[in-house]
Amino acid sequence: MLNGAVASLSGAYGLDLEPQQVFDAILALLSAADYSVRFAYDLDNDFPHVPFPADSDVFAAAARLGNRIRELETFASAPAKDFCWARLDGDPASTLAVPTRTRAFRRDQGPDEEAGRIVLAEDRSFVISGVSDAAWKFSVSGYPVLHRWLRARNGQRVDAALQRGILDLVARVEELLHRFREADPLLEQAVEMSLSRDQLTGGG
Amino acid sequence: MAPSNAQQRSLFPASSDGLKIPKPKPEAIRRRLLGILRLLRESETFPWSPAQFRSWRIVFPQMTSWLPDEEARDLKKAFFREIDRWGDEARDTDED
Repeated sequence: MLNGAVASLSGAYGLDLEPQQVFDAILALLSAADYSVRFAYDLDNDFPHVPFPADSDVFAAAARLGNRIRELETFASAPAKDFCWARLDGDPASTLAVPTRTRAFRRDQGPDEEAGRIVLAEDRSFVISGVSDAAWKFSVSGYPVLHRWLRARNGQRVDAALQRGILDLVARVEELLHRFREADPLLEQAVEMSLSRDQLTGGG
Repeated sequence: MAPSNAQQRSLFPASSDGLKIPKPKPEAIRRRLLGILRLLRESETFPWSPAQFRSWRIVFPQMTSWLPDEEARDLKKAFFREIDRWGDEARDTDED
């Protein structure tokens, strides 16, 4: 199946594609923030569609973006510095003690209500500041990533490695959310002008 | 019954060496593009929906990249000549 798809796409784009590029382009299109809205019915009732863009430039852009999303999701590379705005504040507790989800996130008061702090100690003396609301809410298949990752480490000693790991994860989620939004215009172009089944199979 | 771990085969090959991705053959691409030109020449009404037309206008030139430069140039020229020949019918389709 994969060989056939890569060969068909290569033919339609006039490009000598590698399977990895096809995988990355699909990853980018499926990761678009708008994808689950546009294809809600298909996701609920059928197999989800992958609308391959007709324009090879759009495909190439999707493959590049998907490459970055894959690197972030597989921890193959660090998040970009532009997304490393969260910081640890307070006295590092000796062990991590993240409370339940409803008590773990405190939204900032004031003009920037889109961000807040994640509580890392029972007495709230140790927090991660500058976490966006979207990053806190980010979930995969109903799994709230930040909270579950942190709670799974409750009781661990808060050493330098764990502190680095916490900041890395928050920045990684912040960058992923940004990349998912970057995928939206690519998905829109793919839906607007897609490769048809005929063009992929060489039918009439 | 689900296979045990020992029975379950890997989703991916152990190495990519055995993964042979067939490349499009120029003769297959040529046959396909000539078929499109024939469709444009022989149809009694413009053969494509607006979406198909928008897509083919991008994809046809891309596919010619598999052919020698001169042949690619000639095919692209022939394609756009046919589109021009359809005139308003193609333009109306494009504007839908």
